Amino acid sequence: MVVPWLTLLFVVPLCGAIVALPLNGVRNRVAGLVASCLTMVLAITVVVLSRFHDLAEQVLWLRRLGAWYALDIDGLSGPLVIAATVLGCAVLAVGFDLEAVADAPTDGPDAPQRGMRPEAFTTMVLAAEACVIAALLSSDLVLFFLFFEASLVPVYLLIGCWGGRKRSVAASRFLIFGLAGGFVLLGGIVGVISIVSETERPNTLLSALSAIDFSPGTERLLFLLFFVAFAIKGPLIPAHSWLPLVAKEANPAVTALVVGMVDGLGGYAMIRFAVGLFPNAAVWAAPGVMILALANIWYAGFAAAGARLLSQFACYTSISHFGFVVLGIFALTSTSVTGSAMYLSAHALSVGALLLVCGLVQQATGTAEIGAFRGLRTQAPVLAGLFLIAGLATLALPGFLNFAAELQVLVGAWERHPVLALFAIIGTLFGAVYVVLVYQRLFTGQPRSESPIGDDVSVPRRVVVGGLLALLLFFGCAPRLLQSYIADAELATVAVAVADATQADEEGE
Amino acid sequence: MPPAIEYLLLAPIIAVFGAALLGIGVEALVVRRLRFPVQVGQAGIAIAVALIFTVRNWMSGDSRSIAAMGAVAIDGPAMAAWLLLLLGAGGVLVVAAERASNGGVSAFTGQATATPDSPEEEAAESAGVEHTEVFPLFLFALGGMLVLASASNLLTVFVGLEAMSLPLYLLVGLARRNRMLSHEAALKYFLLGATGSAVFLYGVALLFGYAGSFDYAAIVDAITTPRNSDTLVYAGLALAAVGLLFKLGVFPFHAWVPDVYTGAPTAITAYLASCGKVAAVYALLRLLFVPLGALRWTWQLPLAVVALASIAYGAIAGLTQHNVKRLLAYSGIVHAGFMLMPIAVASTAHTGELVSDFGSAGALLFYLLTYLPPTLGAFALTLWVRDDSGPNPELSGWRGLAHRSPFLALAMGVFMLSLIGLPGTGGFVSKLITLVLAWRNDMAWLALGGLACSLLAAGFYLRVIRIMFMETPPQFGPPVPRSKPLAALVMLCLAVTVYLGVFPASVGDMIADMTELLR
Repeated sequence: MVVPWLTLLFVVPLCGAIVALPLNGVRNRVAGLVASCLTMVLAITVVVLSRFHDLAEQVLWLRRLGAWYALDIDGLSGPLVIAATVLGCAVLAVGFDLEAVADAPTDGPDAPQRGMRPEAFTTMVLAAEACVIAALLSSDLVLFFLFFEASLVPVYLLIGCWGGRKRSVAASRFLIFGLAGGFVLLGGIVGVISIVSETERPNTLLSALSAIDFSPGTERLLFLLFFVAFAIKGPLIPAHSWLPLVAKEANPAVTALVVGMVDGLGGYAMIRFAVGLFPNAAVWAAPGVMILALANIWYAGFAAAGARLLSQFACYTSISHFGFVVLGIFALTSTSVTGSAMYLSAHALSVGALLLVCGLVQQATGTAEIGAFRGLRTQAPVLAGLFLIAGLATLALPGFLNFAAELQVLVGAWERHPVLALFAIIGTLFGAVYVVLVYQRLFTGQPRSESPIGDDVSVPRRVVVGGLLALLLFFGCAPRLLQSYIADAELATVAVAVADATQADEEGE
Repeated sequence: MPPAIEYLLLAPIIAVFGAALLGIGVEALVVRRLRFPVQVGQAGIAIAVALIFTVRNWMSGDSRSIAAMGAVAIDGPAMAAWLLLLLGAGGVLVVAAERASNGGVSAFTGQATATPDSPEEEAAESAGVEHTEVFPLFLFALGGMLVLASASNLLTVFVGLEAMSLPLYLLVGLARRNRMLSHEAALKYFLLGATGSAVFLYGVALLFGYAGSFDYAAIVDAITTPRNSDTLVYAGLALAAVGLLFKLGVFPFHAWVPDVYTGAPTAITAYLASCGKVAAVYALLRLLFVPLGALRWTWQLPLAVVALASIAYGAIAGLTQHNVKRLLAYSGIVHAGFMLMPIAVASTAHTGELVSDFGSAGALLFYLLTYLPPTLGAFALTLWVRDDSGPNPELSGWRGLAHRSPFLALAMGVFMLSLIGLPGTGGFVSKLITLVLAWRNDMAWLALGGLACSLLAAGFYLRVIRIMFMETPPQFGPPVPRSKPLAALVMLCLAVTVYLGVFPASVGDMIADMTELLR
């Protein structure tokens, strides 16, 4: 019997979500943890198996639109799937107090609205994880869109049901941006299907779509529709304004999920769909997009340095990361695209870890404000250590995976546009500045006497966050493991070839 | 010579009208205590019998023909419309027969002749009187819808239109609660509906003047070999189409929709929103495609503009509503626009190698199939959310519903997601099919415009979800009553909505069989 490994990979968390829903208290947490750990183990198994066997699944789903239920896994999606499952595990394992709110008084007219029963949290985390995994595995455009869009719903509820006072505003803004991106993408998909079906039987399998030559005008229009949708997800400025609000209002675990798991889809889809399907248009748009990416890096750098809340600080580092990812993708060299793909996993784990640590600080002190405390190091040395390490990982200290990825992105970008690469390198300095600044403000100095910090980080939480950081360190020291796997996927080869040819032409003249 | 009538083919219509007449007899002969169950039972049986005959006729594929001397076309779309109408009516019947959530009496007024707030009304109220005539009226309207959806002759269309509308004018005014609102709604519906009918009738007269016949086949001949002035046929086309657009309730002929939907008893609102739209849109499809198909270059663009305007208007106006029934009325305006989209595109299904879409009739059918369950389910759910005096359609009553009744909130959430068109629900697939159809037939602007507006529409559906899940419930709302038939209906709607979203292909191929219009 053929085991449908890839289907199992997203059905397991989905089943976990359903099973956990009626359970209460500890049972609920155990069910969630078991399901997410099982998914993680399964993801690793599947990635290993996929190196030796072809695990692709294909069933015709909707004949008249040529849509398939088609799943596949390769070097681009594999690491991201593992990262998503690891992060899902971590979020459930950390188990933040869902009633705690960032900046609200506990009673009076401004008292926070009551949250949903905490048991539903497990279900929604697992549902979101299942959607993200399925979207990553989809090798059919319509199927990808289905899960891409479906992931909005559990995340919307996660943001809106637990968190600060204005959480429903944050959730609405998240969803409106997400839906706007989704509808733009749907417009692009409808266009692709319609244009394809003028000449032949429609088929939305990626392998079939990438063989199609669109006329230049159409290709550029479709590319832009796709690009905008994924840029909102990323997010790329100027479509980023939903993320800081979410970071402010949502529970830190949810923010970690949004930033680490869901946003990674944007970068992933940019490589696979926007560039993969419309290579010529990608080369046409590359200079503009790279400048946008650079603006992202610089803007996020300044904003992170000035952030008032810890979670916002972490989410700005995430926006800056996305700038590097996009820079690498649109530099369109095989080195930089591989680097971007690698960056996506590094980003998921490092920002996820940083946000979880920020959440721990917030839970321990009861506030997320950066300026509220000083000298936490003496009271909570482990917390301080974890924060510093997670911060250094996000700023791409050599030895962490982020460094290997960022280096590749910058080397690739240098080959194409030395000037832009130079600006990006200056941008990396911001990272060093803002992490150190925050560390200094929060953890060093004389502790204020009234800082009501309780215990240091508990052992299970140390293991969770430490595990994430250890993974980053491991792959950072042995990046070849990941690099060769990703390089096998042959990402954006057509676009790279076209870009090479264009550059050769320009130099020839 | 007696007219040739194909009784077997027309059995669904005959069954429904027959049961309606029988229902009047029941009023006279059965004791008051038993009337309610007898009426509900026989209406249910009539719908079931009509369904069985429809399915039987559909299965025996050779029975497609123009029946009753050219008055009624029994073809694929007619079968499809009948199935939708009968299934929809079955659901509406469950809502109409609901008494538990209403304090043990039906939601229709006890004594329609009593002045609101008068001693007579109080006497009727305390005696627990119920008007069981609503069920025969309901069946007459259903019969009219069946005729309307399959009529192949302008006069038959008009007969169907009136047979549908007259009982509905009455039914709209029979709400037990908020009777003044209900009366106002009935008057509004009657005045505007009668205007619509008159406009339609004028169009019919002009078309008759042009073709010399009411028969669709004769009109086709007259257009291909013109004898009279073109002005007649264009004016006739415009007026007849406007008459039907009135009934469908699209912008700019929507003025009655919000008030009528709000004032009518919930079951009748659900009836208008589901079956009423199905019948009107099928009549429009047949009118435009069969006799006036040769003029498609004339009517396509205006219809596309009306479709887009309807979607845009419904989406924008719906954003500020705070009553669930009113909100669903604007949702109906949005979706009526989407139903016009496949018609405006005027595409026949490709067959053979290029099996790439459903054609207009198929896309429309799929759209209706995915529109009915969430709409019906949502209306059924409005009966459950109540304050001390009864069901409360104000959105404020829905605050924090997820805390009080998770199943109800979940079901409503899924219905809203399907109406937005989010993946995993039938609404997504039907929207995708409709948009691809529009873009493929050189109306990319319509597809993109529709998408942009449905983002706006998403706003008001999401408000319902936000209110249910993210707000704190009022301190002590009355408990949500349990009603098994209603719960079963909601479960069924939920199952169909999700099933169509996950396995659309299973019905997709069946639908292909129901798209060929006979002339």
